[in-house]
Amino acid sequence: MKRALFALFLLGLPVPILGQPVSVNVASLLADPARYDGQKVSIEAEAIGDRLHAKHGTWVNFLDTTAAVGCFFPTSLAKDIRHLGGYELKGDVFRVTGVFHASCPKHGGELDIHADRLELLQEGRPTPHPISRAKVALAAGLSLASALLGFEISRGRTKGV
Amino acid sequence: MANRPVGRAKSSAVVYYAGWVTLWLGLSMTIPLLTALTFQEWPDFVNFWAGTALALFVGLAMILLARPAQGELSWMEGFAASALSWVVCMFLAAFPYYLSGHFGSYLDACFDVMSGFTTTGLVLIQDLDHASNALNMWRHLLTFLGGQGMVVLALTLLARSNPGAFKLYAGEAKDQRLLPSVGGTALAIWEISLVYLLLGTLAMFLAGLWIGLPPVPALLHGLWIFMSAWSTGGFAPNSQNIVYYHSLLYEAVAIPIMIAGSMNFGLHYAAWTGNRREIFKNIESVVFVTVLVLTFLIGISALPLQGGLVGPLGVFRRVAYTFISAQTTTGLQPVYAPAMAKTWGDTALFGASLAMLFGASASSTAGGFKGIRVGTLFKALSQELKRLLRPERAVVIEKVHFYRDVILDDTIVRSSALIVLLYILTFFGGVILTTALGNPIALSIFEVASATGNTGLSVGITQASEPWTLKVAFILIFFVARMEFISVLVLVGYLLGVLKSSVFSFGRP
Repeated sequence: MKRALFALFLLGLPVPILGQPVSVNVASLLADPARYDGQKVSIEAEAIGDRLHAKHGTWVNFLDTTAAVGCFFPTSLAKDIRHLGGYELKGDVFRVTGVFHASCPKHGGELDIHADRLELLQEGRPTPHPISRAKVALAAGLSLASALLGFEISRGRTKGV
Repeated sequence: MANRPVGRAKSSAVVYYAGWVTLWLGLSMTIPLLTALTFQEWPDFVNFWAGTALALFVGLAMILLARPAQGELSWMEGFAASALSWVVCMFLAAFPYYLSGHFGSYLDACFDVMSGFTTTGLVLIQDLDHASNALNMWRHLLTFLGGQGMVVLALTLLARSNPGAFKLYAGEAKDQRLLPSVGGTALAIWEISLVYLLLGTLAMFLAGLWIGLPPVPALLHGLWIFMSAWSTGGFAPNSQNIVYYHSLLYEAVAIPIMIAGSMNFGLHYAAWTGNRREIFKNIESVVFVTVLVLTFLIGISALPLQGGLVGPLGVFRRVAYTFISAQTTTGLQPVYAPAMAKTWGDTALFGASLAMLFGASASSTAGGFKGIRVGTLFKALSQELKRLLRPERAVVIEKVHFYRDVILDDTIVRSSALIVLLYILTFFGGVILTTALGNPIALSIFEVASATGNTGLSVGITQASEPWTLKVAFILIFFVARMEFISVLVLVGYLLGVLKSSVFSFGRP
């Protein structure tokens, strides 16, 4: 049996050996959902967007370097997510563990992860958005040129040209 | 000036009107500019400041260097001015996109702009989930402006005189006159759209609050998803598209907006003025329902075997929703693109491709062949079959109900067949290129059908890493399909004519 499992492991099949979740990226889940359907998986991803209410839980979307996916949490667990990523900040990065559904029977056939564990890997932080001086100069220059053209046109109209 | 060659004077009129539309684009850019100011998104404030200034500069320069048209525009000039406006606006609207840093190249930015203007919805934007409110406002505004038809509105509001306005209006592939004047028609279309904007945004806002969005995001998401659904654009402010919301309610509220957006403005106007029976009698309504049911049946007959769908709710939220989105050419996508490519199977993808190609109504924000043409061609087919089956002396008359009963004649059938043929040729050209670049045939058919029908549903072929040739080809497909070919062909002919006259006049006194 062990040899068979070892052979399958070498073949790259995601067998949850001894109950361990399969560590996977989001793009792999989306690209081959049937392969991971019903298995315990873990993803390392940034919490993004908003907390969304649902019956008996909360939705939070998670984005790794490849893609984003929706994770369904018990509301008490979702409260551990403090920073949700967006324009102003990079959200908390977690290892999210839960059962993956290619077509969730509880959520209208949605592809989702029903999460039961969260491990904070990196706390969220504000994203710096420096202002480029070159862009400001470009904008000011173009504005001046537009104003001159507008003046030229209005002057021409006044003269009846 | 009086001795200026005629060809040059005519090209001057084309540039002059395109200049006014460019000016309108620059003024439109103040909306994301104000959004950036409101939310203190300073880098994007600078980007949109530069974008506004550049568009105003180019627009004013075109107006200054060109001459106002003397007399009424010819059909050729009207069509060429509309098409040129779209091309110039694409390059200028892409400027703040590119400055935002969310695009790998200027070509990618142009791709997303043309996708927005043409209400297609395929995107190459990167890291959308961290994009600013200002950038998202511009993305959705572009699709809203493009959907309603921006050329005539810009000229109606800005230009002092507008001779030959109907030719510009028709140049944007709209030919439904709601009121005697084209300016009145353009304003009526915008009035209808703005009333729907208020009601639709309110509905989406309330649905957003219900699912837990805070008030400000609920309002912004509501506005953007409304613009996306009504203009049949299919954009969303996040990379997961409509799946992001995980809500049947949120998805369901968008359905009537998508359907309303895909209806002919003439049909809206008929319903508004009390003629509600027209909705059920109109050939485009009949074709819409028939194609939707048939393509859905094709899809659903294939999907349970391969898609692993769960229950009627799953069928509704994943399959029916996708087919409504495809048929209305909206492109709001309730299934992740890679998962769709993997699990749907060729037959279901083919059914959705058919829905996207057939499309919805003419003179709406939707794309595809359009219901009136599909209906006309099927009626013509029926007429031919009846002719074959009945005695030789029998006279077979076939009518199409399009606001009034119209007797089918060869001219109507030929003009419909010509446009549909051009769509099919464009589609096959796109499929050949996409497969030649190494993509599977079924996925290529789906993605190119989405581009040709200006839909926006994707199975993952459209991405920033795709070859530049495919990006350019898709931009052209979006454009010619949205303009229904004629304007673009006229513009090409026009530019060649101007080039020829310039070459031949070179060196002459």
